Amino acid sequence: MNIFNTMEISASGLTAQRQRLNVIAENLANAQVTRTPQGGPYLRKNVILETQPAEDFSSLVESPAKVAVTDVVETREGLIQEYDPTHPDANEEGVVTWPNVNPVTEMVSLVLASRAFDANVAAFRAGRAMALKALEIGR
Amino acid sequence: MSGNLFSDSTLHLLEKSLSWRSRGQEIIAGNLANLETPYYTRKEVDFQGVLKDHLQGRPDIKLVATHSQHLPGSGLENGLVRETQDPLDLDQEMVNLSLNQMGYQASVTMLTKKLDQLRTVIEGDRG
Repeated sequence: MNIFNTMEISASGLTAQRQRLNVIAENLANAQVTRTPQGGPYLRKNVILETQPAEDFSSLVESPAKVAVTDVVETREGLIQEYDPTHPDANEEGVVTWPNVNPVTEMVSLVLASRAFDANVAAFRAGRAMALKALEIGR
Repeated sequence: MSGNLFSDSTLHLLEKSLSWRSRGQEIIAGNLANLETPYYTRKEVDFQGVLKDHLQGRPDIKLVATHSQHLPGSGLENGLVRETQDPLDLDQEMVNLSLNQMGYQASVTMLTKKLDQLRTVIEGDRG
């Protein structure tokens, strides 16, 4: 059924962006964490978004696509090394490793995710308005 | 309005137009959902093109069914949805969303008017 299909597609976008917001919030909250259960500093997480078929025979180019978070990956790139022998988590050479979370980058991602969420809400509203309008046919 | 009231071509066209617009809404919703998906390219609905083909009476191209249990396909016109190789643009998508929605509402309004006319004809001056 078309009408519910479009709402499901928009809902998939909402879910994906919300998960992304969760990960960004986690990154920001842990921006200064040097101790984790796995040992070492907190590592920045990133979501991987992937298209999902919205209907059967999705190999057809013409079908619309949903979206989903398929993976949350950690990256070790850009860990900050700082010389601070007084810090309890400093290594033998007195170097502390800080998380690779850049608050500016995270805030930009946050705004992007929030805007994408809004766009999906708008699409959902449009779909709902169309469905309601269709109910008026022949009234 | 010619001949049979119920085989009116305008009613038929409006009905088709609603199907196309619904499909368009799905495609635009899919584009917006995949706004941040890497390597996703914009899908486009060619409403004008399909409408033109329909009005010029070009026959629908259908899948050949050589067996009674073959699937008929989506039942929608070919060429309605195009895969562009362009990246997504949020503003453009939002404009398309509004246009599509207004087109849908216009079609529904016209359809309602058409049905009102029919009702007037059927009921005469009893109303």
